[in-house]
Amino acid sequence: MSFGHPYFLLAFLLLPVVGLLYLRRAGKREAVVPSLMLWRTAASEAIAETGKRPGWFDLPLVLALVFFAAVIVAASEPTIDARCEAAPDVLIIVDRSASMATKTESGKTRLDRSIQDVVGLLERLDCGEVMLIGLPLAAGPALEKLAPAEARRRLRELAPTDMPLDLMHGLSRCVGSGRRVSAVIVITDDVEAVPERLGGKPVLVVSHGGPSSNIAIDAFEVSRSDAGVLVFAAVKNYSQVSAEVPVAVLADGEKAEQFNLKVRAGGRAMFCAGPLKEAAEIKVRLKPNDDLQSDNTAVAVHSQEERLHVAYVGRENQIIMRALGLLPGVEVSRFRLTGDVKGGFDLYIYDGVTPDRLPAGDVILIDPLGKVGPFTVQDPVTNTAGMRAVATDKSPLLQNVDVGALRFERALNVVAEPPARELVTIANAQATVVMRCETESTRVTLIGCGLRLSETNWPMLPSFPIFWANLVAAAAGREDLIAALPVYSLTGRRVVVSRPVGGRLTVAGPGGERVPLIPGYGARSYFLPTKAGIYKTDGWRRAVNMLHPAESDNSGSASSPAPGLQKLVLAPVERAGVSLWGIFAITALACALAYWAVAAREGH
Amino acid sequence: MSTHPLINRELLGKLERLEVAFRRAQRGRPEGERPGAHRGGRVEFADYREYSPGDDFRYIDWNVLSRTDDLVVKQFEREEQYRIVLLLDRSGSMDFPRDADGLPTKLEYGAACVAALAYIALTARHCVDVAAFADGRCDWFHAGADRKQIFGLIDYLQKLRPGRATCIAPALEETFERSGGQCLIVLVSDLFDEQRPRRILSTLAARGFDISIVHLLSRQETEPGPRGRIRLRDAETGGAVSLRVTDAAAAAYRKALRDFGERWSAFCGRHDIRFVSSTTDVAFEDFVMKYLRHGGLVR
Repeated sequence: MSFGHPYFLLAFLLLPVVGLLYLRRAGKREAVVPSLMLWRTAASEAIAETGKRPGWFDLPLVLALVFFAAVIVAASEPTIDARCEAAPDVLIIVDRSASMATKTESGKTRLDRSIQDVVGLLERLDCGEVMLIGLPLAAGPALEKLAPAEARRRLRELAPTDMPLDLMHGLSRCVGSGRRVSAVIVITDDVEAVPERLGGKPVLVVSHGGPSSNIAIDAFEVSRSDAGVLVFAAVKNYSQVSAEVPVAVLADGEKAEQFNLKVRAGGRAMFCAGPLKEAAEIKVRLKPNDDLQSDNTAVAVHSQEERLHVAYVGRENQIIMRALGLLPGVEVSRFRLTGDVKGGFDLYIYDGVTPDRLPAGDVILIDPLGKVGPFTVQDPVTNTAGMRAVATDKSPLLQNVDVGALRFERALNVVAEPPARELVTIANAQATVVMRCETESTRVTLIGCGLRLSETNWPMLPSFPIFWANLVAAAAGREDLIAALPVYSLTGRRVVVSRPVGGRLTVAGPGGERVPLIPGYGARSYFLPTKAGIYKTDGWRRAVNMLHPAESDNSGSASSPAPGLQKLVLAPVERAGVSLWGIFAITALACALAYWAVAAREGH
Repeated sequence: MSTHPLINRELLGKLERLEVAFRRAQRGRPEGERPGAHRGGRVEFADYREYSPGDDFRYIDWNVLSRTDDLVVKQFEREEQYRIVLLLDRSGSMDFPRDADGLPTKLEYGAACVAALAYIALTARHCVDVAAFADGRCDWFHAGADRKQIFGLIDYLQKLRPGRATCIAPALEETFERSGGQCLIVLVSDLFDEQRPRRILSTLAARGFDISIVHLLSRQETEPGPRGRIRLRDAETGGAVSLRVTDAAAAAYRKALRDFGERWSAFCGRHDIRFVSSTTDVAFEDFVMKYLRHGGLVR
């Protein structure tokens, strides 16, 4: 028998302490009896009959000791060494994230090069079954157990996905699967994220290239002047090495200017271009010779859409501002908390405040932070839309509103795009109240407390702005805006980059035509990452590409397996055995339950 | 009237209708030819027997002789004042059950038993001595034959505090020395005495003492409650034993207790000693009216 963590066995030294503690604790229970005479008599007679003193077997003590012993042994991960003739199993974890599609100097992608190495390794390795896991898990089957020849064939068929990957998270989910294997092979370009051992097993990393020049557009501004269009952009280097990157400025698809920016590691380089000639679309592109047009691109489009005038009353709220920015044609006027809001707006948003009198028009009342929820007062009723509604006359949200004049008719049915659907589901589950009521002159959307507008949870739920954009558009009665709202739109109605759930990335051109994508390249994250920004002023709608930092341009040098690690995998391995962890864990659990039952029965 | 908590006025009324049952003919004062200085002691007809030479002519029943020509003499029972010694064990083991809601301790129960027996005896104008013993020492209360002394006796009994060790033998020896002759001895105790008091009991029984034993136990003793590893401390000696009380151990204890009672019962049967056993959860009135009557202590 061998142990994965033999140092845990040192805890056996504590067993006597456990026994002593038990006896000491048990010794504190004292009962005064009239006489010990009969107890002694009983003991002596029992000894005479059975040869044992009654109660000599201390079951709780034995259970406690066995429990601790089982826990210790289970923690040390015991395995029965099976010097079996069968060859050891190998777990291969393949990083299929988008960055693995980066081409190397040889013209092949990183994934192809790595798979070629691993296939060669498998041909030389006398191994048993091969367990194959492709990451991200959502992109394919979680685990496949294959014969070596089949594994080699399946490996050659693997292709990169267009999805980002948190490698550490993915590996941690694979640890359980690799419990019975003798070695783990990880194919990735994120070498630094891979630990030396995974679940106690040695790890061989096969990598060709790494995140050495992770560069993305960081800021982007376009403004008009009498002379023409002025463009400002900043590029940030997220990697740990300096880089030089070409940047092109395009006006209506034609290259207007080009810069070669030198960006130090972790630093930022900026440029200002123009004045350029009048154009409906301004683009800034990193590496303009790249194949994918929408990759590493910031776009600004001059939109002539119908305006939606919005009055925002409240403290500055980034989420709301970004949500408004997502909607084409929205013009926001901000008002102080105490300021009077003049009429004439299409939509009024009261964030954390309540107006003395509801204005005529569409109104959104948002529950302020830190206040008691407005709809958690009394008698919740599930309405036809499946959302909870309650009496609102005591709502702090409506403290200044003539509630009697409002007729609550239905819950607002939020039509959310894929990124926000999960959020809407969460909102429904948490009984978030999104409710609409109408008077003859006012239509009010009430947003309850279930979804707090918090700057702190914004990174965790990057779909917030999309969710709120849906809400704003619905409250304003502009469902057409919702329909036009893509997963994210770089160019408003002109170029739409979208990725339906479970589908592939698609790019639609101005006429709705499909823009061909070159396999292995492309922008892959549909979330709104923190480094992206979408802004809008004066009819210019601008967007910066939304690449996940780990998945943007990577072109590091190739790396090959370390010789030592190769030997480790190729060496004869007798570690393929039966893990006894579960047996000892179950034993510990059974002992704990039995101890609890005995202790409960004996009243201590 | 101030009474013991277990003895109410109604029970006292019932006790007055009882009398102490003497198992053996007590040797009273020897009968003489002349009236003595002692007063009291009624003489009542008991039976006839055939005349034999030497019988006192005064006791020949002349009416029977005239009707049947049989010469018989009348026999009389003299209602004599007997001496009754009530011994109450006040050792530490009698201070049970503790913290039992509403249940008296064995000492309180035994004290009530002593008070009831004393009241019955005093009602019949017997001479009553009460002794509470523990740690080899007896505290005597001489009630005499005065019925009014019952209040003093109850007061004395209520002030009793438990001692430590049970020492039955010294108490019986002291009783023997003080009695000066045969008497009725009632021993109220749990009999948890490791000094083996049976020898002195058998000696006294052989010498004609009318002895009764009231064996008291509490439910705590008959049904040991706690289970698991427990440090059992002796209430009398202070000695302790760390023991794991399991169901088997409790069963062995119950068997030992049952054997203990049976041994005492067999011993008493061999030596013509009355033996009454009860637990303190028995209603006291039932104890007196049933247990003591069935045990032959009262009638």
